[in-house]
Amino acid sequence: MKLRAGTTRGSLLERLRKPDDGEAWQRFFELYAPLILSYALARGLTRADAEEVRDQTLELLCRKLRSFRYDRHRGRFKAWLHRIVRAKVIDLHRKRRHLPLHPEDGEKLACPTPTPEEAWESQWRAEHLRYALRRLRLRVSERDYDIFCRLLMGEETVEAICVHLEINANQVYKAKARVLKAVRVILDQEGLEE
Amino acid sequence: MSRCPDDAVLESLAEGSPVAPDLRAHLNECPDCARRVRSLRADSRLFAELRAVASGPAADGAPPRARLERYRLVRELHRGSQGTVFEGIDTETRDRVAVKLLAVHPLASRRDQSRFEREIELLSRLRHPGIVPIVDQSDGDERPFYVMPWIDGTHLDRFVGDLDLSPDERLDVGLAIVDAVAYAHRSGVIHRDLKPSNILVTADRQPVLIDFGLAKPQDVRGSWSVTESGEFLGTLGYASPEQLRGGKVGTPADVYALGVVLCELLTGQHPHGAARSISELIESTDRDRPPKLPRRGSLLEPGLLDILEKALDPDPEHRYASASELAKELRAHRSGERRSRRESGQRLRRFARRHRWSLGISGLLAMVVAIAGIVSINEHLQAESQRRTAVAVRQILEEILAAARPDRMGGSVQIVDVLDQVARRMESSLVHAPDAQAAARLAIGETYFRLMMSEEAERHLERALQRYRVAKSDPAGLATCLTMLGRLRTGDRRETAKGLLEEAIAIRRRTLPRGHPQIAVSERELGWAIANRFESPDITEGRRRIQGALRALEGTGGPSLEIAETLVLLGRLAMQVEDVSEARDLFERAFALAESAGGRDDLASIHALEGLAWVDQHLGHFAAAEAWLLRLVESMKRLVGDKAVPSGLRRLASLQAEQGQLVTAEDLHRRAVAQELAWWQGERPAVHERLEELRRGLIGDEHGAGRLEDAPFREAFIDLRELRGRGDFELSHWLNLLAELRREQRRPELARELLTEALEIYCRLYGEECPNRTKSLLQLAELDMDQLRWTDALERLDTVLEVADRRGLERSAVAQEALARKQQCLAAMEGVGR
Repeated sequence: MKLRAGTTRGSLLERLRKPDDGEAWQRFFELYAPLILSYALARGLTRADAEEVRDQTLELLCRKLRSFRYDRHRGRFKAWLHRIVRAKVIDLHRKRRHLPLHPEDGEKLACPTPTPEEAWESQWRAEHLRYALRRLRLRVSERDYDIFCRLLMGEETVEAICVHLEINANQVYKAKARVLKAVRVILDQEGLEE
Repeated sequence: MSRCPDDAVLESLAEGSPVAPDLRAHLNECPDCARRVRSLRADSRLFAELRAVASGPAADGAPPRARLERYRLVRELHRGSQGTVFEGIDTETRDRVAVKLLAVHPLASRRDQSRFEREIELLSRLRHPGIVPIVDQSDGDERPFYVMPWIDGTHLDRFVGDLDLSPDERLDVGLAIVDAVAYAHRSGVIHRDLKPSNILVTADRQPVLIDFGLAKPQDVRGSWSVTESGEFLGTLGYASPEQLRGGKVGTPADVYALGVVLCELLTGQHPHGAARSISELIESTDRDRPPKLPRRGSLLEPGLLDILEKALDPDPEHRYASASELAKELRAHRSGERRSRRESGQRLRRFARRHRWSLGISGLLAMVVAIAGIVSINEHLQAESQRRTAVAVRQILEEILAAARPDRMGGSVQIVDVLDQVARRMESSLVHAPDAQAAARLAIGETYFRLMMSEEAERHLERALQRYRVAKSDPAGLATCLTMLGRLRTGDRRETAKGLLEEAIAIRRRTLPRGHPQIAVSERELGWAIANRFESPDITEGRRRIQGALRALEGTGGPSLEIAETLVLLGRLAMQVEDVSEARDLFERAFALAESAGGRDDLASIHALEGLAWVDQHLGHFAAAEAWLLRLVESMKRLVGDKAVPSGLRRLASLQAEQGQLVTAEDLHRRAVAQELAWWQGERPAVHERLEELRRGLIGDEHGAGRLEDAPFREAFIDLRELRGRGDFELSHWLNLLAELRREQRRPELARELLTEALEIYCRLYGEECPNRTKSLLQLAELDMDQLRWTDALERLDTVLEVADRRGLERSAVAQEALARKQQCLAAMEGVGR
């Protein structure tokens, strides 16, 4: 079944309805805790406040997801989560900023911040990619992983890798393609689709 | 059709290489290859995204990596308060390098940058095999960085642990470290943060000093004050006592750190023993004693132990003056030339240290004698007018209190006893002299105020106020009394604070010449009250007034400590609007001023330290915050004795919790609570204030709270109920605290019960519309929301909003919060979970 682009696949969320599915919850935290945190930071909260947002949101999610029924037609998890996190961020901003600012401070505080949607989109994507990178190890061969890391880190040129590992350039590209495929699989299964 | 090209060709095509004409022709003909290129392009995009994510800093809000075109950052090695060190590749030479990037924080000040520039400047001055060189640095306006060659080495601690080295080999490595530091000292640079993790040892056993982030140039006098720089730094366990105390730090501080490093290198042990946690550092005083290195069973020869003990002497004057001297001694020792002269001064110094304690006791004796004197003087003065009696008594009291400076004594308990005794004597012997009684109470209240015992201070000041109102003859005393009371009244009595302060200002304006600093002090306090008033704080107005007071105080050459206090208040306001760099400047100025005025243990200095710790904690500079806190606790210990320890522990606990050190945080909290309980049972001090702090401390760190054992709280609650009686105001705080804990523990029914009991207390004491009641209602509503009891929650929230409307406080924080919750409630009721 092909899902719409940007729709969170239901299976992980479905699994979360069972409170004893430890692995699903583990994955869930691994993915969403940093996402919420980096979004809150990007929205200009202090670290402590961002952590508060993260914890409150996760707590809320824990409660909600037990009764969450994934319904493709009703709404996207991504947008729903954004709505929640955004509200929490605003709550904290309100709490911190309920004091009127001194006029002179306006300038200093006005650092350019992305719009909530932009921040959400970019953090969503970046965190999913980071998550995929973390889980990659389990899905590809050690050799492929090694080659991929060398490429990714830019530590060595393709030629250098060839010399070092005694393989040819085509093998390097094949390995890269295999790993990228694995990345797509992870993104597709556990997060968002390409 | 031509032959299909291999993957490598297609790949380079996908990555944007120019397309050769024959290849283009092939792609037009071969749909397979065209599809492959499309998919490879998609791969290439995904790969670029992954690379950006992988090489950028972790998801912690750091800005995207700097555009260091020549250097490609491979991985993060170390993140410090000031900068982050990455492993990198020099794309031109393909060499491995280490790149240090200035931390860019939205609130980082220009000063951070200038410090970073100073580090580059100092480091490029040094050329020594034992010091990491700079090979390149940023130029122009990009994010500042500098590049060091990659040092293939292990940190000293691991080096020592991994290799089985003979004592001689260890000494050689140690000597090479000392030589490098000696070279830096000769070049006029103090490292200030020597520790094993800042020393790399290469395969050929050459130690290399890294991280000169805290280094400072020596000034002409050979030392300088850290307070000038406004930043203590160093690392606990390696920082010299003078660094921890905030004294002058010069080359002897590096000598001390070298002593610790050498001790670990040569004996495998820290000179103060293995387990040196932060709390132990605070609670113990043994760092003021020279360490006693174990002589028996030690592999080290006594001569070497002597050298180490001298390097580790708590008094910088008694240490080697620089690393060169230390190196010389170590060399002399190594070449078999045993030191013939033993330190003869050691015993004498120990004696002197003991003697300092007896000074405290004699100070106390002097005070008791003087109090005995008051009564007779008082009798002698009975023929004089009441007014003169009052002045005389006040003078005498002030003399006593000045003679028995708390910081010169071991603790405050004795002083407290004495003060109570004085108060009782005054009461009985000055029955017919309300002015004198008032003056005495004022002096006592002032002392308690300085000892940070607000509740006691308030009690005496309130009595003083009553007497002044009766006597009506000492406007100066009355105004002082009003000002201090105004300052003390916080929380739900801030409105009365405003009245008191306005009265004080009126009196002072009437009786003092225009522009008198005292007037400015009262104005300042009023400004503070306005900025922090309970329901609708007006921070702009408050700030304006305090700034006015500051100008007046500075213009008239008012007392430095008052100016410092004013700067502190402005700093706190700046923190409230998150203007952190402004706040830091203000706190630093305040601290420098208070120190130079000799008020190292004055409240102004303590408040400034508190502020500095706040700033660094806010910026995530935990090591710096910790150092400020240590100094704060040191000062408080001198001022009020061991009572300062629990609050210090608690502050450290929340700092630890913020860093994710939950186990440590929990331990610190528990110890703070235990100490505090023991202390309450003994003394019945300002419970209110303590509880407030405790509450803030606990609820402030969410992680810590749920994990704390609740037994001590329950016990304390029961104790308090006995002490204060059921329905007491103080109980309500405990009830809230316990409720909060129960909520954390997911025991909502218990939480509900506790909150309801608190609510009853508020209603009985302060009526239906008191702010505490609305706050409790809000908490109950949140509890309802936890349990998905939306209708109940809505009902309570509506009550809160109604009360706010009635009192014209619809814009207050509580009302805003309630409104937000109400919206959440409504949203949830039609939300996804339904």
